[in-house]
Amino acid sequence: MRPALRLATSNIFGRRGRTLLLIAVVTLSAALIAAVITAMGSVEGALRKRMTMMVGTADARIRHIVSGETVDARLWELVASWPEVASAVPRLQHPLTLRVVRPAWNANPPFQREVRVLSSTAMGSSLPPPEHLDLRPIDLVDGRLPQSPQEIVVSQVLLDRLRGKAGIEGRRSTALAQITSRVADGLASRGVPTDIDSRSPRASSSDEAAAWTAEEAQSLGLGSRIEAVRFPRQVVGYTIVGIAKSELLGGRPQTLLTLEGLERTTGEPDRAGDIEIVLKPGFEPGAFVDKYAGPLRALPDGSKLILQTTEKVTTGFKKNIQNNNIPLLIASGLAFLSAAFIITTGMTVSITERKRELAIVRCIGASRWQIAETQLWIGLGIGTIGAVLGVPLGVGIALSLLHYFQNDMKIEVLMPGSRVLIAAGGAIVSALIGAGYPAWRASSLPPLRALSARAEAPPRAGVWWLLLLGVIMIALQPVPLYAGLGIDQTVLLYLWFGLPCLLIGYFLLGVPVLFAMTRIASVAVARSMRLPPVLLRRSMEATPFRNGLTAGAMMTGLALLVAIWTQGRAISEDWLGKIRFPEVFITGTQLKPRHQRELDRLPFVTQTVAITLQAVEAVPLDPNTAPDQTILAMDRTTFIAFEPKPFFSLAKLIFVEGDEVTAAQRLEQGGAILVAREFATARRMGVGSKVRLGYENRWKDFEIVGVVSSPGLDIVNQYFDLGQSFAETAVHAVFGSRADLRDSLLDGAEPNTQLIQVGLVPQSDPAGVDDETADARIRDALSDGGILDVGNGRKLRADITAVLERSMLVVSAIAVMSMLVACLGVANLIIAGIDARQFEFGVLRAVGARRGVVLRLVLAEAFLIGLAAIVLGTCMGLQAVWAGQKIDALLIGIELRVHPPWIAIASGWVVVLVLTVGASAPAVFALGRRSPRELLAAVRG
Amino acid sequence: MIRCTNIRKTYDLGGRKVDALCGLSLEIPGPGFYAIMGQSGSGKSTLLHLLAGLDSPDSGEITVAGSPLGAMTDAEATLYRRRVIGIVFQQFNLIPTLTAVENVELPGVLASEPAGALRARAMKLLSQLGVGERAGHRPDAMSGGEQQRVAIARALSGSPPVLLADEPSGNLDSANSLRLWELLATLALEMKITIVMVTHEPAAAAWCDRVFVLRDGALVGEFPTLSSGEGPERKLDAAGVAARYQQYLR
Repeated sequence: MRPALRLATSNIFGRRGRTLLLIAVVTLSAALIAAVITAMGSVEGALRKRMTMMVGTADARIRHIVSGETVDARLWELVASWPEVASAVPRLQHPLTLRVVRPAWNANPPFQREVRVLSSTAMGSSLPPPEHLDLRPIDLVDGRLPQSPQEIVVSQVLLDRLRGKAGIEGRRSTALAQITSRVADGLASRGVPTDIDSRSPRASSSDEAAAWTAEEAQSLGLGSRIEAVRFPRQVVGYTIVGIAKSELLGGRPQTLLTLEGLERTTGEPDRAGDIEIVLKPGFEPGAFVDKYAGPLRALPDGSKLILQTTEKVTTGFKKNIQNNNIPLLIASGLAFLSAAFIITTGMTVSITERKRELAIVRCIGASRWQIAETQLWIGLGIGTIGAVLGVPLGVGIALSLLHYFQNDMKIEVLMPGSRVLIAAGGAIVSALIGAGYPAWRASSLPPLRALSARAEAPPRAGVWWLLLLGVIMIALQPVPLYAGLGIDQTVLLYLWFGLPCLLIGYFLLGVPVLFAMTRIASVAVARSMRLPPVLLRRSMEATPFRNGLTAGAMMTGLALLVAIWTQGRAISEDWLGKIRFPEVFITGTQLKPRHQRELDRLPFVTQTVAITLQAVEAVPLDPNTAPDQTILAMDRTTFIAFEPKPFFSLAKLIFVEGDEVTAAQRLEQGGAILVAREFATARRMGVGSKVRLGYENRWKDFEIVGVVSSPGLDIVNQYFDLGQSFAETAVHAVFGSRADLRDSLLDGAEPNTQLIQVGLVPQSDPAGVDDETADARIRDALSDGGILDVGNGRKLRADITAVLERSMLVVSAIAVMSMLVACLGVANLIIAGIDARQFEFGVLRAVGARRGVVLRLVLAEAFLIGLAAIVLGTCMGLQAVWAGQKIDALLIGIELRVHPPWIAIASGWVVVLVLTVGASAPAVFALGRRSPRELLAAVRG
Repeated sequence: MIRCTNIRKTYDLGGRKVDALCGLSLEIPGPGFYAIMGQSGSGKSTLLHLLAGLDSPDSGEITVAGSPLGAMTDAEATLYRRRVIGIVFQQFNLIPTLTAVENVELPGVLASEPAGALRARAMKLLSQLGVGERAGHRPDAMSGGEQQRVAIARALSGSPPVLLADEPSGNLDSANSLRLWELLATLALEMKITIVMVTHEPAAAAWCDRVFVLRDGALVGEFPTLSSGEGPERKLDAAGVAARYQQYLR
């Protein structure tokens, strides 16, 4: 065995208590990071699975330039003939209103059997042909995929809704409840299984009625009939042949049918939402798109087609996943660095304690490298043991929590893959890094000086150097934010350079800050603890590095708490608070003005706004517009029309240029439009620019009177149509008044309404109703409005708030874990300090100090360390938030104010002080039990 | 065996320069037990540290067992300490986390010697020094005398030709001190090694073959403890050594 390894082994086992503390630090850090990685893995897996199910694995696709429009499905034959193409598959998605007709027994006497219709909206998606099913992986719980146009697969969530499960929104219609004597005929004509005939038309009690009703609802499943409503009054029947897994992470219920099966409902044969293209190996999607974009446009109606790589569609999801990962990556990185610092401090303290021992080993023939190697072996041993214990612990905790919240979060619990080895590797690396400085320190100890019993004055020059170095490192933190790089590069550079500089800088500042804190606060602390001030001050100043770096290790958790609470408040007030969108969105295919009037008559509705999406042509009139309009062709513009005043009362738009009052007035006057920020940026236009819009050769010039952004609309857009990013819509959209559209472009014809925004009375108001009632009554009022989708804005906001609160809770938990890990470092330091100063304490007792003085001295030192950690952690947290504000502005385009919640932060201060003093308590109590003679004897050998 | 020629060494103590050795020259011949005596600040510990290769002289030459110490690199000094000398300190300086036998094995471990042979040699040494039954005990379970014996065993484990002892009885009571001096004298004789002991106690020096007296960083005299001249040879006792010692200090 290598000599250094033997020395390291004897060292590890010789000081078990202290070694166990350091192992515990690494174990907890590794557990924390393994838990984070495991949780992230399951969340990412769910997101990725959903993305794959939604977007597929195709390399490219052809679709209509206007979202929601279809293309000729037969186009796939032409595309399949291109030499680069392995397969081309048409795909159609269409919203469906599905209903099931089930017998039910009225819960009131005479408990008569009736017909009950339960309905729900869902998204219908066509399946690829059997030979191309790998394009869109599907998880089935039961049954099989559809093979004929009469067959359908429904998701578990949709099935639960149609079964009318409690708490699940399904819609009961009693419109047919009055059918009594014709129930049997009615059921038969709807294909309801005839075993219903075995039950009596009348139940004997309400309990029996409820039980029979529930049984019938529950019997809905494989083989049951389900109907899709095809307007005006037709229904199309399907048989359920398969049940798919529930949608991951929320979203609209899904159904799967063959293309022909979906066409039975749409009534439009040979239409597809897009043509999905899989390329042969070796062909690059980008080059493929570049080659065929032109020939595609040359086709009849080719100008309405767009060929794009699927990455363009999925980029938003990848960015979302990356953005979701960022706070957790930051927390993990901080935890690892913090563990490394604690190990550095702990082992350096040990080196200082064992100076004499190390000198002896040098005297009897150990080389410098053997001394250094011993420390590295100790670090490796601590890291390896910590990794072996911590990684399974963390994985186990994460899997247990995920399993517990599985149903709530709708996440499939995935076993962590090789990525969890990052936690193991990180633990070992952090321990080795932590051992690096002690190794150097130990190897460079001059044996002669180490042997002398002479007391050494604490080095002051080093404190100033650390101050300088710390300030420089902190000043480097914002450099990536002002380097003028792209968003991705900026974020990456900040994560890998800026943030570590911040952490290391504040860690190093721990020494000068503690020095300053000692000068400022030691007198007050000493007097409050009935200690001689000079004693406290001198003992703190005797070991400034040890104490200061321990304060640095303690600060990380507090910094995380400060950052997450300040950031959370900013998101809640500056972003969520600014999001104002209508409580209800209604989309339909047959919405008319009278539907809006029906809604206005509902007592719980405050305001309605009808919105039209009209495809128009556009030509810029501004000479400064970007010359190359190939990709952002102006003729693919959607005019989103609404009544300005009611619209602004329901939705909050953030004006990047212009203001709401002026814009509203101008919109009312006519000849004015608003554009989204993405539109203005892409075309280099702004307030005052002019755009000529036209429809069927009727043209009008419009002036841009405002450039807007709306985080709320982004969210709603994602809720309703996940295949199209808001940015893509916004680039091609202008906002104007319905009067302008009607009078200038539609020659007086009333524009169709595709969307109605509805404002509701608050639930607390006497006229207010709950979301479910509002949904049901709105559907009833608009029952002939075409296929309806009703989105609940209040629920959206509540969901967002819940996600935000959950994120804050998770990161806060990580922060507290970091503080607990740091506590072990504090405990190690205190124990080492007591061991090293036993003789000093013995002398104090021998000259007349009471036991309590010695104990309070150690507690006061821990208190000062806690105070320094508070200063460091708060400053670091706020600086991190300031940088986070810049990152948020880059990523989501919103400038959040830094507005620290001081009361919450103050509670964090209390936690730090309690943990720091508490960590030292066991060692202090042990010290109190030792007699002066025992302490004085520590000077011998 | 040990030759020092015109050694000078100056230390900087908090801005104050201290001349520890001022042109010291001495020669210690072959195997035997030798004492270096002097008052506090005479330079005797400094001389021992130079002989141990823990420090280097500002000027002059030192040769120990044929090894010139003046221009050694750190690596060479390490090997020198491992192979040529053994050191015994006043404060025992055993590694507290190692047992007695592990402490004795330590120099051999550092030299990557085979474990089996190392253990056998260590046990033999401990037995020879009368602490064999303490082999498995840690230092905190041993008395001062036992710890010092273990320290001597550790110093001898590499079979060095030179053993340097810095006030080895400084922390021992009189009975243990007496036993220690007798032990060192016996070792020098039986193992034919050179033992150089720094001491301020005449009773300790009386066990040595020769005494070197230092004052103010220079050698002021040396004398054998075996008196020669008229009559039979007679070993000086403590009083005799003290008297001769005082002569050189006057």
